[in-house]
Amino acid sequence: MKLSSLLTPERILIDVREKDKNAILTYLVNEIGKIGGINDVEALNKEVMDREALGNTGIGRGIGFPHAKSDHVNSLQVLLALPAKPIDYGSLDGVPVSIILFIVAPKDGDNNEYLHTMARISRLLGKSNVREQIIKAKTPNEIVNIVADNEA
Amino acid sequence: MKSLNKILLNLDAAVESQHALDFAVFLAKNCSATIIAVNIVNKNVVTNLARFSDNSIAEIEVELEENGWRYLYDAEEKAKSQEARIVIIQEYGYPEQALPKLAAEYKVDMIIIGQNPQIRKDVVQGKIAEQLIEHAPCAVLVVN
Repeated sequence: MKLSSLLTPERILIDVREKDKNAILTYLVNEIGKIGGINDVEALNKEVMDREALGNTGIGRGIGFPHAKSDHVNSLQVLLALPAKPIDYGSLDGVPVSIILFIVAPKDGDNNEYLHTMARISRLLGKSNVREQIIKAKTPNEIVNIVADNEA
Repeated sequence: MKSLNKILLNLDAAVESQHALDFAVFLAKNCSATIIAVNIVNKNVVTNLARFSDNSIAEIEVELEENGWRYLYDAEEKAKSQEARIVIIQEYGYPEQALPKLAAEYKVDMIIIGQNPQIRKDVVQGKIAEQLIEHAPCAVLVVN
């Protein structure tokens, strides 16, 4: 499945104003919970936080890539968020994060689909011109189009 | 000896890569270090596969990327199960060039790679460990 078909406009959050990394991650878990596909938002939030404690998901170049496979997720969910200001994420390269791509999947679900999606995200955000376009985007629909145009 | 805070671990399809992972997890756990596990989509491998495949370069790259994420995901699960800290990333390029660059960028204390001793005798493949040792800004551990 293409990333552009997973990243629908309601899964793209622009101008997120939570004050720090943990607050943003909790916000993202809650937003995914509202969309659906999550059976226990609080438990998922704890898993995401526990995952961060075992290794930061700030992968450098201004990208946060929180991800988890969980018993509290019913189906693969992807959400993209742009903080209002780059946030201190404790990333590998120390660069504050401007784009967060959040992916969660069922623990016993299709591992291929999960890895396929992670690969597509990595490929897309590996392109500096795409990152710049996404950061400058003003609307979710604009980002949907950027993703669709740049997806292999 | 200074403390060991960050370990850059190269993960690929080689069996020795799994031995390197075991070593990295052991060190990370005992030294409270963080493993930065990287899979490099090797441009040489892409070019070589393209010569013998009906698939396009883009299709080969996608396949290698997905395989790479599988190694990274498995490594993450193993590290998590042993409560070792880990970060996973994927890069594109040539391992002998990308690894020293990443080591400098992330200020790592050690690079760990797995490589078959027979491969090290190969003129092309063998140069990865050799060049890495020559150019790395930190200690390099090659695991058989």
